Amino acid sequence: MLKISNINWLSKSAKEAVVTISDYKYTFFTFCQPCDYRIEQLIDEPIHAFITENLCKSDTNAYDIRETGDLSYKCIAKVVVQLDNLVKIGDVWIKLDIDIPSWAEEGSFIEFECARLDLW
Amino acid sequence: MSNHQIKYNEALVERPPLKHGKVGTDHMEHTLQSSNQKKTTPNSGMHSKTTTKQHEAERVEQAKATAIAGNRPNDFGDHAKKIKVNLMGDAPGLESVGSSSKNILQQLAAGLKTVQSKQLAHAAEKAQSNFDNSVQGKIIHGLDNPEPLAESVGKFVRAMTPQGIANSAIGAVTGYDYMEGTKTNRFLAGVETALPFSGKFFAAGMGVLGRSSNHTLRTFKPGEAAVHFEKHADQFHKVFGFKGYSIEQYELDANLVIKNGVFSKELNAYVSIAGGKGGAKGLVAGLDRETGHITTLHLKDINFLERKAPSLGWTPQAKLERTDLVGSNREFGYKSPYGAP
Repeated sequence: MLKISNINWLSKSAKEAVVTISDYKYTFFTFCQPCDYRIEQLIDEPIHAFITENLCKSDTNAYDIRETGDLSYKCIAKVVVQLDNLVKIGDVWIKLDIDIPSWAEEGSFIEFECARLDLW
Repeated sequence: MSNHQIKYNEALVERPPLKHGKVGTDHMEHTLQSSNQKKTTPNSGMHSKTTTKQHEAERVEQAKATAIAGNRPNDFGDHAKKIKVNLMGDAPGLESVGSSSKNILQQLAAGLKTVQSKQLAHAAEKAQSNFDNSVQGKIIHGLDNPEPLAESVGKFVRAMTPQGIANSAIGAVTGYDYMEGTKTNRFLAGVETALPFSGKFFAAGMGVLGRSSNHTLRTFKPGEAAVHFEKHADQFHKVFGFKGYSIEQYELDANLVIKNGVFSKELNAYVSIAGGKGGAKGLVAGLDRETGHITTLHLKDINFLERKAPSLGWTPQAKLERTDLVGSNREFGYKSPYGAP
């Protein structure tokens, strides 16, 4: 289960924060504004990859997530629902903001980069 | 200089600076002279054939002259004292009436701290709509001002002050509702005898005008700009392709969104549609209601705005419409929903 482990406020008046979420195996720093969450709260919806690019088939069939900058990531994820652009890393579901090509079959692994992971 | 910077400079140039001197100073007197000259033009031959339209035009001219005369510093001082009676909070600036109008305006701004924004916002919303439809509203919009005065005030306070104060200040302009008539001081006399709220609108509006000359661009709180820039600059770079995007440009962007954007109550921020690479996105600029500082500027997906800020009424639109599923060339198989090739 995905849970919020920390909230780092960037601006309290704007309710803007970097929210750390984790499924106990993978940890993500997500951007959230307006943030009405609290620590230990469970997340039951996908997080959103923002400005996704360089999507391609992965050479490996193993989940991976690496920080490439402040809030930006390079991920290897499994396609869950191709038509809804849903992928997952571990138990963390991610909705991409671009279409997943039809060659990426459900269950296959893809690689992509995103400028930010957003928690809505 | 990048295209972005050029657009910026153009946008800033488009906005003429507000001059509080236009309330009760040279501009007003100059306009008064023009108005009086018009009034001395022989027109009596036409008077017997006065139609409703002509009468209305005459009434507008008279009211315009009244408004201008009513704002002259000397008259302002006498009436401002009386207005104080109707102010619910203290307006310390009124103690010094009789000095220059500039001082009065500045000190009225100090009195704004006592304004109860919730009440003012409610009343002012109603007053503003009345104002826009009034004869006086047309006069204000028609003044020899590069940007209509009422609109300037509205834009300025919307961007610079807490929303409640902003609404009340816009409502302050509705004080002009009381200037209708032929007596020179009818405007201020109307304000002083009006509901307590009107007095406060007046003080708020004048205060904001007084403050306007001291503020041109908003900034982040000291030290915060770098934090936000560090978090979001990469996204700007990717979407807009900026090279060498700086904190200064980032702050300018925020000002531009606050100036031209739409306020979203759900996000407590100003929002505008951004161009750039990829799907449609919104630029979100936050504003601290207490201090007037910028709180954030970042990009948001249009889907987010549709879901989290439904009052905007923004929904994602398909860029292309699929028309041919058979053709081998993808470009020929789609057409733009906007009719563009």
